[in-house]
Amino acid sequence: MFETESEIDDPELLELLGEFLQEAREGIAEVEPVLLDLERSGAQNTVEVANRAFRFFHSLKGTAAFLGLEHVCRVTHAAESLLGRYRDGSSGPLGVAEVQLMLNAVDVIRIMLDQVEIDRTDAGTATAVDRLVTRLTAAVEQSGVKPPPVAVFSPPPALEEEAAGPAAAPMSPPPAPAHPIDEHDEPATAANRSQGTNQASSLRVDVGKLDQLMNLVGELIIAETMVTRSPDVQGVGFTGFQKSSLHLRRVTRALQDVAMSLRMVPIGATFRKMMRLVRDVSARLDKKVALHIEGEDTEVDKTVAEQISDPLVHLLRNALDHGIEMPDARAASGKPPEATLRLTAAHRAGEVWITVEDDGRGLNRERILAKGIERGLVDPDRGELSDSEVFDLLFQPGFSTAAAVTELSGRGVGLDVVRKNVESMRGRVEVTTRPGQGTTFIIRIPLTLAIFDGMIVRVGEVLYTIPLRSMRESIRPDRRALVQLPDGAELIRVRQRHFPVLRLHRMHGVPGAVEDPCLGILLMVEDGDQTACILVDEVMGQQQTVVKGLPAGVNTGAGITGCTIMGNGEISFIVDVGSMLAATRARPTAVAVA
Amino acid sequence: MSDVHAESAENHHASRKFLTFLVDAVSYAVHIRHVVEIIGMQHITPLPGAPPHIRGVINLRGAVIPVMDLHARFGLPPFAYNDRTCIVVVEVDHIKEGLIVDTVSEVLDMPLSNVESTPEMGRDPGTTLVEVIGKVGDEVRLILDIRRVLGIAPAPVRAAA
Repeated sequence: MFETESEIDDPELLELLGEFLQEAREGIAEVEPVLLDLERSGAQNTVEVANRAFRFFHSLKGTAAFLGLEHVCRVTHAAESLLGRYRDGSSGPLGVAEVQLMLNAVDVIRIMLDQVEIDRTDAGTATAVDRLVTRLTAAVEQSGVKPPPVAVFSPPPALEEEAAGPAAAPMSPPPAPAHPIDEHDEPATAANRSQGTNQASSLRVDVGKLDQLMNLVGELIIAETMVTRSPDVQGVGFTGFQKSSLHLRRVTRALQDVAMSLRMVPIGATFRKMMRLVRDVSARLDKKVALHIEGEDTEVDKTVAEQISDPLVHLLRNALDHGIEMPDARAASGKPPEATLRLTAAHRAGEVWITVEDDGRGLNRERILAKGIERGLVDPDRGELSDSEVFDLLFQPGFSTAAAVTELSGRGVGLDVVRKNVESMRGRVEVTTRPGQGTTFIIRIPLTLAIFDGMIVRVGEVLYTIPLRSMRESIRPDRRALVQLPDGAELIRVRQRHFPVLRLHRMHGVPGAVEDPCLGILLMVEDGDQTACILVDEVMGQQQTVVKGLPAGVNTGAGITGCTIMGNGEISFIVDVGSMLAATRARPTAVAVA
Repeated sequence: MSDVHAESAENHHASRKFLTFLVDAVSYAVHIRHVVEIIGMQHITPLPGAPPHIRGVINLRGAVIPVMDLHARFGLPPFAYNDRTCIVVVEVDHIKEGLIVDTVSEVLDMPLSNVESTPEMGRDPGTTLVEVIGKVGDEVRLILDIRRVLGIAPAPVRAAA
């Protein structure tokens, strides 16, 4: 049954292997935070932690043995043996040294999983495993109390040991390794029980199928618009038809909501991965940091949960490296030596807000501005820049104020990547800071990535779709409210405030558009603390917009993030107000002249 | 890949079938394996901010694809579209794009022996985009390097004639 040191090639076993990898990784995601928590908060319920970790290693071992992954068996077995000492509390509480060993074991297993995924065997990991197993075994011997029957660990083959029957339940190869094998000898904790019910009422679905479903829902919404807004039935006034189309609309919206919710996952798993990062990085930097996580239950689109990971790693590293001071410097400025790093998620007005907040030294406005001028990103003759304009420099490629390039950050790759990643999710990043008190980065991402409510407008021959959430109002301007500045920029006065006028047709070179603002319509759009008025020829109406990517290999104008096909088959371009405003700000002269 | 597949792919390749079309009275050709379909001229939505030779995008049964005017791509003066004007939809490296041509001529079988590589012909965009020259009787067909036409691969720099 065991094919040690050989690749798994039986298709059935391969399928099991896939499940094994997934479950092992989920297991790691669960057990690692528990260990880190224990390490932080000290000895409270070490027995329960030991039990949970034990169960993790044990069930991993079971499946690994079934799949013939010898080295995985050895590591898990050794870890299990050590934890066995602490499960009844007889060896005293689980200490820092043991937790460190467990974390090492988790790391080694993680590497093994990656290797197994590629090579379908764990044969290449022997050396790392040998070293770890030796340490674990030594720890078992040191743990003092008389070892239970199996404590003596004779190095190589895992198989004999399995046969000898280790600490817990005898190892019977489970017929379906999809289920954890050893619940029977554990007192069922609350967590356990809830997990049990979850398993009963939930179902694992291939992500590809979910994507397919989302695409079909998108097509359905387009089809629905095609039918209900068909020119053939416009203005005819069939009451029956209108009633049924209203009904159809309600059903498709409900279907859309459900389909969308299927893709939603709590962000907690992503956040928990950050715990380890913060621990390791702060240890390496000799800084004391307490990470507070809030809003773990906040649900986000699956794609967001995956893609937000890299930006978060960047932001957290930045905060740890640059934001947070050394403990003595903190103490000198009257702060507690242990810094607080807050990672939170919340839903706000159709968006997910993810914030990374530190209580470090804050951003140095002058230094950033000086660097910006030095790099030629800011015209030194320009007047006073607003705070957000200055901090926006941080997101420019290659921008870094770090005096020294450290191992972790400061090479100036980072924040521009963060912004790019976030914008690919149609989101944006904002930063606020208070000198000496800390910096907060806010990532704002729309709740749904695929479908949103848009306003369709016409500029010349081109149709644009502007997300409703970015729109404030539409204005038919009065000539007296228009102001032209000497440099060509135009402003419009609305209720005693002046806003810049943006001409989309000039930015994008669209012919035949209305030139006189008084003959067109101004749409007031807002992004963060920026507001501007876009000049359009005509407002066509509101519509549920199904986002399609732009065709590959073609450049488009600034601010266009996608396109959509409308009910009548016409194509409309989706404007991201944030990136469009950013683009105009980056090249103010180009807008005025072109 | 199954044997049947491999065989047909091989045949496909060996067949050297080309779709030929006219642009400004010159006959060009693209390998048939790049051609997805030929459609009549239809409404093209201008693509804001795109380079001038990209006329815009069309909705091809739910897929949004860009459309390139070969006159503009070859640096020729603009021409008025008429009822013989066609869009040749090509696909390479998973990129789909429409090419506006004056008219589609025929599908030609040009054996490998009948093609020769381009001599140094100067830097006219119409010729740097040509991969090889095919001969059919006394006539020649300029076989386009579709990747260069679409801008996926850079056009080679040739010495000035």
